[in-house]
Amino acid sequence: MEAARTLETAIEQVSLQAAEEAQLVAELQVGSEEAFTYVLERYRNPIYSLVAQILVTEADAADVLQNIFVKVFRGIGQFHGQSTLKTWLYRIAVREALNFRRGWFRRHFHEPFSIDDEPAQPAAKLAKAPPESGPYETLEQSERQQLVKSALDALPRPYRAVLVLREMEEMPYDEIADMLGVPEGTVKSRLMRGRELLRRKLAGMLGR
Amino acid sequence: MFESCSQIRERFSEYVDGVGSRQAVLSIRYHLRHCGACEAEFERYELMRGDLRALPRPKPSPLANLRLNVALSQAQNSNVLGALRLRFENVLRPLLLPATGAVLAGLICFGVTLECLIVPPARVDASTITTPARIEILVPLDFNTGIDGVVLDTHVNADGQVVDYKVLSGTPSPELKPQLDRLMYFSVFRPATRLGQPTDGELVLSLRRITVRGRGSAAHDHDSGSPGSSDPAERSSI
Repeated sequence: MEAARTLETAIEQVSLQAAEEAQLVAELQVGSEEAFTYVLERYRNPIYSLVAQILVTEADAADVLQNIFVKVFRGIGQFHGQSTLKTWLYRIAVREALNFRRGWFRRHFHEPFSIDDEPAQPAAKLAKAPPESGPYETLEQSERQQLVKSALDALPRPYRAVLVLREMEEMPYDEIADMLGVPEGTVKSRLMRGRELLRRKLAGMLGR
Repeated sequence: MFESCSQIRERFSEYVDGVGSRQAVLSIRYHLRHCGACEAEFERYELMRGDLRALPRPKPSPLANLRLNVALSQAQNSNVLGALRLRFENVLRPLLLPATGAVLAGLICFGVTLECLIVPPARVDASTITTPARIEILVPLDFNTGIDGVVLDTHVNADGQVVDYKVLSGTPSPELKPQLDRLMYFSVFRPATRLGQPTDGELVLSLRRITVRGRGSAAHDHDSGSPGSSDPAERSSI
């Protein structure tokens, strides 16, 4: 009885979310600036994070982020609600990231950055570390994350995209397959191969 | 189901995602319970996944956010006319203040220079605009004008002809009138002018005949207050 009530509540919440999303999409399609600002504020950071993990370089991620939201702005009229808005946005983001090719100028030009933007990584980690963890643990954690990140960045882009979507975004296989435009079996095999490659790279780096 | 360690390890990916068949899951779980090496390998596998999930999520920099907003703004004005107008405004707006200053400075310089360059209009004297009627050629006087002479007030029209005259002083005589008529007829007058155009005017003539003895000839003097013509035999003034 309790489980049925919980299920009923969950269904109500889902339908409420769907109705809200339908209204949001309708407002987007009539060109509501307020609705677009809401979408931008809500999805900018997660999409940037996803794209930056797939593309490795954050400067490229900033370029791709622009392309993604310009495409969303221009193509919202073609969204007919076959998937959720989030899935549609992520599909555009993943495809843009996978199709991104750096031009000659971008390959040879490095954007200047200010030393005031971010402090050095380990020092920043120490500064932001929770008080219960010691500096040694924090430093070790930071170095470990850097190794994992460099191992992830060294993977071929299709494997990296699948790993990011599955492990970091925690998306199901069918949504990943939908976003990448490949069968679920391909997602499964890429995931297995990607994890194995990453494990070997990390074993080499960490000596485990 | 009895599988080798390598076969079991190949299935870790499906196992952790929970997408394998129930039989496969049970087989892996059984194997891990009895194989220490595979169990340690599985722990490293889980640790790797934990590390992946713990990776920091990068956020766009303020510059990237700014560029995104600019790109979206350009996309909003993506029609050709709108884009051209926006580009035109963006080019012109920074120049607006300097250009206005330059125009104002130019106007001020022009005004100052113009004031220095302009020649003030010459003050035209009314006397140079208007010239009185004059006599050009006076025929010789062959009649007696008396000692005081004859003073005439003549009216000279725009064609230089005397249309009327009045004797102001002098000795009247019956012979004088035709003599004066003949004098007016044969003399040449220059009409008065106003602003360069001939016009009617008044001319006062003072006629006096002077006779010089010993030479056997007479001299006429005509005087109008200005130097007149002179002749060794006759002198007349207007």
